[in-house]
Amino acid sequence: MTTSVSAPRLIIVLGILVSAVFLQGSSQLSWFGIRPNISLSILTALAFMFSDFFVYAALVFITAAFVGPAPGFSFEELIFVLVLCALFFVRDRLSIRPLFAAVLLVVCGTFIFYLVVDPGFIAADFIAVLIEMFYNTLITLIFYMVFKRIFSHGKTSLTAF
Amino acid sequence: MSQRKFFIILGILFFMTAGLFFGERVQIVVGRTGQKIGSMLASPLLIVTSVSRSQSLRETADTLTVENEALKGEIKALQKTSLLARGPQIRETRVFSSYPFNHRNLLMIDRGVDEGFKTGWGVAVERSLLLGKIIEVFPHTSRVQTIFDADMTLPVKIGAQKIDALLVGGRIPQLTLIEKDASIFPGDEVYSSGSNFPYGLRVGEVLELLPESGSAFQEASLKIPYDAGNLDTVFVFIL
Repeated sequence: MTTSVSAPRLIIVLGILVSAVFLQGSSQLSWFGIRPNISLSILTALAFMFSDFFVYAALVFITAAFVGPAPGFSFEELIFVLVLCALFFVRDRLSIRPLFAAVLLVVCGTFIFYLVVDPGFIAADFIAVLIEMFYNTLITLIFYMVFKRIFSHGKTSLTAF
Repeated sequence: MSQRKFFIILGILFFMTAGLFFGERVQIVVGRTGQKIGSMLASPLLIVTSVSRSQSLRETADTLTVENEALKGEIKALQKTSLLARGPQIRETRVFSSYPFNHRNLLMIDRGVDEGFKTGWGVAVERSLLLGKIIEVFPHTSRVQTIFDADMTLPVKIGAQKIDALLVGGRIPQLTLIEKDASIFPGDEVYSSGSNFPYGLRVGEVLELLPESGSAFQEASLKIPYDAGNLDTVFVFIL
């Protein structure tokens, strides 16, 4: 069953994503020197709420435009976009409960992101990658449940936006 | 054109134009606002953390007061021998954003080419603690590589004996290439000896010697006396 993206829903989602970008760049949310990739985690949870790839991809692109570390767009942002778009397509191929699938995807997403962007980081500081995976998993779980409530009428398309 | 195609094209265009044309301004505005909003959103967590840390903080405050007095004396002594005596030009600048991914440890500061900033300039915390260097400049912003970045290396000296070492950045920066027979101990001062920074600028102190790995050199971890996650302002040394 699919439903339309209502304006309030979209505003809430955009508000959450904007807050995530703010938090990710502000260094305030750092535990043991490791910051969670909040935008990756939230967008992974969101992948399970949308049936329409185009709406989801647009949200990914908009988030990536602001999450970057410097003016212009970087290689990291490109990989960020590609990993999240890939997760969207893998999502339906997993024959496990969506909640577990979200956890599995965010763990894989985090690993693949660093594997492509900076494989040396995984070898040099694997503990840091594990800690980030843990943080990302927690955030994904929390937002999966939040979005489940917001999108309680099924996966969402843009049919009546 | 269907609505969905329009929406995705709009998203891609926004991604490209926001980054290419308005990126820096957007980053400054988002960064400054983001710091405030970030602090606000993180405040409940900080309250919980601060309660648990308050006891240990009180204990360390007493120790720090004593250390502070001792350091004042040391600064006076250093000023007679180091470039600090000549008073290198220092400019205070705001940190408005940090690198959002963990594999790099970079900061963005709100001064750039238009304010005369150049790559290679040293950046410090509280004027006397080396933090890193500017590696890239933009019209109104600069990117700073910190000693917590894995790609950062810096020649340093350890203790009163001025033992040479190479600082290798990372989440816990390490002191490498220390001669095998050199006597270093936890608590020994570590200060910069690189050409990009004023000589004698403090970096931290030796935390512990790392177990020998069969190498011809010793290695040690570095203790940093500040929390890099809570930096609002930094000081740039104009060379």
